[in-house]
Amino acid sequence: MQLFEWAGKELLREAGIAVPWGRLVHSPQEAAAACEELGGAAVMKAQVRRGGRGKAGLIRTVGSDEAAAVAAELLAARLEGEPVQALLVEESVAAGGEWYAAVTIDDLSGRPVALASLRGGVDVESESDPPSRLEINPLRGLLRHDAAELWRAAGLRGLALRSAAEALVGLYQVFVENDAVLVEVNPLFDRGDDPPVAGDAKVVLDESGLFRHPRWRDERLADPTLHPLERKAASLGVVYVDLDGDIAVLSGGAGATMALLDAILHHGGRPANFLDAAGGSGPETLRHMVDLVLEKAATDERVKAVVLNVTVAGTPLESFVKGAAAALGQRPSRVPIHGCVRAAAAAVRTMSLEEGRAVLAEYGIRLYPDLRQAVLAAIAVAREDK
Amino acid sequence: MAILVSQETRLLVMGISGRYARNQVREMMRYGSRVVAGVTLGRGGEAVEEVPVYDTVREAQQEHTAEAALMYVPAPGVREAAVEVLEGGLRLVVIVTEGVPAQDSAYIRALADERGAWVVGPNTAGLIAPGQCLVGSVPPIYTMPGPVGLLSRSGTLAFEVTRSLTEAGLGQSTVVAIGGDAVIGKNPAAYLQAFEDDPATAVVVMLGEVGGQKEHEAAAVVARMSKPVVALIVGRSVPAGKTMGHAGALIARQDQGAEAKEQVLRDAGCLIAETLWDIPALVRQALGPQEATR
Repeated sequence: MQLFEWAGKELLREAGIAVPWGRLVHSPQEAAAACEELGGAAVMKAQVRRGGRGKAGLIRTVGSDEAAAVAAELLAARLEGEPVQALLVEESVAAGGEWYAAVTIDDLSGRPVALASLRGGVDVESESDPPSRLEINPLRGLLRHDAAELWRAAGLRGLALRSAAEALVGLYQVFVENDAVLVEVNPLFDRGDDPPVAGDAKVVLDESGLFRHPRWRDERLADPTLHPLERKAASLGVVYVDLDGDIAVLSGGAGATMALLDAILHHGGRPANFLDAAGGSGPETLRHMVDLVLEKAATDERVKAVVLNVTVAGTPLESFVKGAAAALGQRPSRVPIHGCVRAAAAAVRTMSLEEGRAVLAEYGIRLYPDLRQAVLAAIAVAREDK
Repeated sequence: MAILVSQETRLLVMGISGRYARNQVREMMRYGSRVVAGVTLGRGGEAVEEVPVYDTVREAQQEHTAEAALMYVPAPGVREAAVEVLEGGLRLVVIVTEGVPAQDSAYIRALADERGAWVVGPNTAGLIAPGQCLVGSVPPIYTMPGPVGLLSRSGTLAFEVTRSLTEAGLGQSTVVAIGGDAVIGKNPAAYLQAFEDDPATAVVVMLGEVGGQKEHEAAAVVARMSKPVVALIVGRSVPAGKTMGHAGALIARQDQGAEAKEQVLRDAGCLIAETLWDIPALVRQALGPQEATR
């Protein structure tokens, strides 16, 4: 979950890292007033989570006479569908150069890693000489002399080493204290012997860490680019990803569902959604999952069929069947449902597989002995419809 | 033989008093797993399925010297519980919990590495050595003893594929769900090496996902293995920047997509499955006619 630049900078400031003086504004009037406060000239930055703002013309240097007009223009803009809802109006910083600093988690070692480069700015990632890296032992943390050695490896010398190292230690502190998976400052303005100034802040938080950070808990649901069903699902403890295909999927387990979507694609269909229970698999959650898929089928004309895949061993089959029956009783499916249901061990203690299948058949679900047949049947329905 | 566990493995269950844990313990013991102790703070002196419960790991270890821990602990408590079992000298730690913060997992992994312990998960359904030992919730009914070693980022996909292998008469040496998170105790590469070293394993099935570089690292191990590896990478339809259930399945760069991973694995000598249903045939092909009917 990515934070807006203004929120990221707030975290940096709290950790003692220098950031430009600025105001968050929501209207052209506020923007003009902030420019006045800054003595006339300012940098105006659209607050969207997506990258590439500079190239899209969403970061502008303005004088006070044009402030309101530019602010109005930016506030009406969108970047890849994300509307601009606020602007950060900042002092412009005179810099000797643009550096790069970041802390993230290395996918292979599973350890935090600090990155530093004296060549920041646009396209730092595609530079032929990549940033210097330092793996951090999380049992020990990042100390100032570690950070100093990293900056030295990046080519920095002299008094600036001290403040640059302190800034990097500050980034690691932001990373740890907020359960971030990425804290990135690009550009980090070189101010000679003065502490470097964070020109931007990209802070990506770990959604699994939100239980420790109530201040960010509602932030994800506020993302205006979320599909309404995605937002609804998130509030119900279900992971739902909306896709633009013709075959909706009602399945459990992230890996099995991904494999099912891939199989649909492989056989010539196009999946319309992903679905997974995030918070356990109680009867309520299962019912919500069925509901979400029925709503998708009801509201998206492109959906021609649903594939149902249930394999349970620990979760009682009865929980799923009752949840599905309740949901289908209230809202019968607009399109045919083809599926495969398997249950074993503890799952069939309170309801046998035959009973479960019989109930689902009553609600019009067509069941097959294996999942591939169900997929092929659903794809055939979608084809006929074309 | 198998990897990580055997008939002899003495198990300790953290958080044994919860309802879900109780059910799992019952299933594991029915299968023949040796659950020797449970730990739930405040429940010391009680018993679950005749397994004695202790307040702390240290107390349990004074009586039992368990070697493997299975953790049913809510996400906020996982880091501390893992430190407790690692300091208790357990060499295998299976963390079932979903939603463990990545930095907690990084901390646990670093501590485990320091102590020479092996962490499975977090976010795992566990593992089974068919006919020997069940740790977690892999349905035994889907398994049978045999020469296939299977590792999977996903529990549910491991179940599906294992069931299809068993139906095809292809038994397994060990089936292990290694964890769906971005930071897990051991990467696929480590499991591949363990299967290579296991005399009971003749062929390996690796079920991977899009996101990260772990399959690239795994390819380097495959290239020097003597045993054939069949691989499936799922997540072809994951849009870049979105996660589908598993925190690890996030495509941040081009080389983290399914096609790129398949290419790297194919170059290393893997047999690549196009869908999950192709796996039994590929395993049979990899084993050769004698092995498969052994």
